[in-house]
Amino acid sequence: MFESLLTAFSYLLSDGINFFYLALGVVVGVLFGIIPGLGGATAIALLLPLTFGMAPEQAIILMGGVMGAVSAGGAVTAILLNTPGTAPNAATCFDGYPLTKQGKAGLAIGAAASASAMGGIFGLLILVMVLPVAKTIVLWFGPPAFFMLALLGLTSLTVSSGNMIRGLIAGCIGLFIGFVGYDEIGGTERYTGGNDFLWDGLSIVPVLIGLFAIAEMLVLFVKGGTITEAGSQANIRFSDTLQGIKATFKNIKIVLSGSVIGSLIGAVPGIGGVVASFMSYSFASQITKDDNNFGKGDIRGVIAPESANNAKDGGGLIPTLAFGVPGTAEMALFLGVLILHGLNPGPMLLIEREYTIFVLILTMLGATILSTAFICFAAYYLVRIAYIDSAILIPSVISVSLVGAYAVHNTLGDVFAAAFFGLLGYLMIRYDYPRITLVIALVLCSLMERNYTQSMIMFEGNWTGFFSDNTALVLFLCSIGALCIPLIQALNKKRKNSGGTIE
Amino acid sequence: MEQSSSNRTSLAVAIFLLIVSISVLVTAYDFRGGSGIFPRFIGWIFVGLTLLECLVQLKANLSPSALIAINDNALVKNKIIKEFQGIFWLIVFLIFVYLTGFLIGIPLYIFSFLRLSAKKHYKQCIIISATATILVYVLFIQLLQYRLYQGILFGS
Repeated sequence: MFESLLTAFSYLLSDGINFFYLALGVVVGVLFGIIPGLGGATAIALLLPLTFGMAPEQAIILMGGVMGAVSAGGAVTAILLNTPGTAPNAATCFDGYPLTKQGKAGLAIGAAASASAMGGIFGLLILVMVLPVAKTIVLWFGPPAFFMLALLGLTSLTVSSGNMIRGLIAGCIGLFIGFVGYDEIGGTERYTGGNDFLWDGLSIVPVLIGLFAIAEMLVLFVKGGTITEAGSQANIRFSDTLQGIKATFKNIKIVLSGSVIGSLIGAVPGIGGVVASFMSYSFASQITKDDNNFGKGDIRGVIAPESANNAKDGGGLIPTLAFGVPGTAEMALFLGVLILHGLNPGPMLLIEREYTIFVLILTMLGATILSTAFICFAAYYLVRIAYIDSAILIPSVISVSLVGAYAVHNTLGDVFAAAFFGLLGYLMIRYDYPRITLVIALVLCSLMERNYTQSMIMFEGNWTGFFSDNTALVLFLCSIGALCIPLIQALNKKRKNSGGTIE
Repeated sequence: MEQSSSNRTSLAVAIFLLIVSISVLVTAYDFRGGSGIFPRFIGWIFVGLTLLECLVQLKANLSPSALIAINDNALVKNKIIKEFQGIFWLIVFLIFVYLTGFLIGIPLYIFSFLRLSAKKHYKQCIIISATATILVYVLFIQLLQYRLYQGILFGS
């Protein structure tokens, strides 16, 4: 293993063009992460034709650069505009945007970039350690456990949203939106109303663009002025970014817990970075006892999801490389790149071309560090977005976002869908229904339905069968525990308050 | 003394969601084979939750604390007007794009928005709308090689 690592390292240093590909991947990754609605999958798809003439390792360097940088880029818009650049950055909005409103955008960006880097490094270390035993880990999860894991993701989110009933309602709405379209298993059209556009279901990109970008622009329009409420351009200094980096080192426990959650969740196919970042956020919120200001601009609320978000990439590579099972759209495209270059993911890849795996690991490590440096230096200029007059920002963001929605499938229907979800997102903000629970439920819908149906077939329609699977039972109890935590906290608070009066 | 409009609208939203949840549950029973298993399971949970939310909101509306004086009618009215204006400008964008496509619709929309809604100077309106259009052109047409919608008036 050490020999392969050295071979990979010497390969990377052997030619200057390797560094160029890495830098290109990082710049494209950060930019595609920053622009809402694009993301890593689009970046990989765009760069894929460029790799035709490259050696497999060079193609891996370019793609590794993108994958290692995209999550860090997505945090910038999440913090400055309350619009996650990529879906997994959504949890960063909760505290990143309030910090921007308080005039501490530089602090939040510094913390996000450094937490991303540390999470990314941790995730890759986990990947190196776990690869040899990866098969056993993923095989723990059968359909009942997958269903329960998705359920745990949803309940954790609901708890962190602060309003349990409305959070669960939003989750149900998300699941029903996910049901829209032709169901191949049952051969039935569901909730399409006979509309051909809805036959394939709703694409996640227009929904995300609508719920986040458009809805936020509507909020900004109603509010008026600039998106930041405090401070002026003179208050933003590079030293703020450095303070953010220091804050990450101060909260190393949060970084570690986020990295562990990110790596574990990332390793489970289909769950992805969104659940990882939200679970990490929720966990950090629950373990933080002193000065808990989560949701109001707590720097730990930025560090937790960002460390998990980047750590999940290392975990996500475990099923992709070891079994050829991609966990996310990004990983699926990366799998395509490997196959295109004659590399067949699976145990044989680990045995025959171990050094290629290490090229990828070292590339992603380099990309993580480079993207952090890039964002920290560019943050000084990027934070100025927060001080642009909303009247200029609103039509520009709406235009670019809706073109992005159109570009997914080249259909105008996606533009109308994004506008509809923009309106829905605005109403959800207005009436305090958490949007992210809806999005996660939508993302997890097919996974949940598939595993629920498979489990019910396995248990011959007897739902108590879920409890006969040990992993599923543990995950179910965790879900119940997550739902009980706010109730216990409320009871404790009530008891403490009444403690002074009742003997 | 008047009942809080916020509580009333929250109750109205909860009732609307209850109607939606019942509708989707009833529809789920029409699905053939295995297509309806999971929607029916989630549908019942959805109905239960919306019913619970209705009860919570009903209780909030009937409680004495819900009876508050509204002194900021003008503020509320102004907010509602702004909300309708925001939706209006979103519809304007969709109409422009539908008719003229993205590359003509975007500058038209941004120019109209800045001039009519934000009351910006002509020069500023032209610069911003041109910049945004160039960004869309370079990113989506030149770099990403997308073929953008050309509108029903100019599309072939």
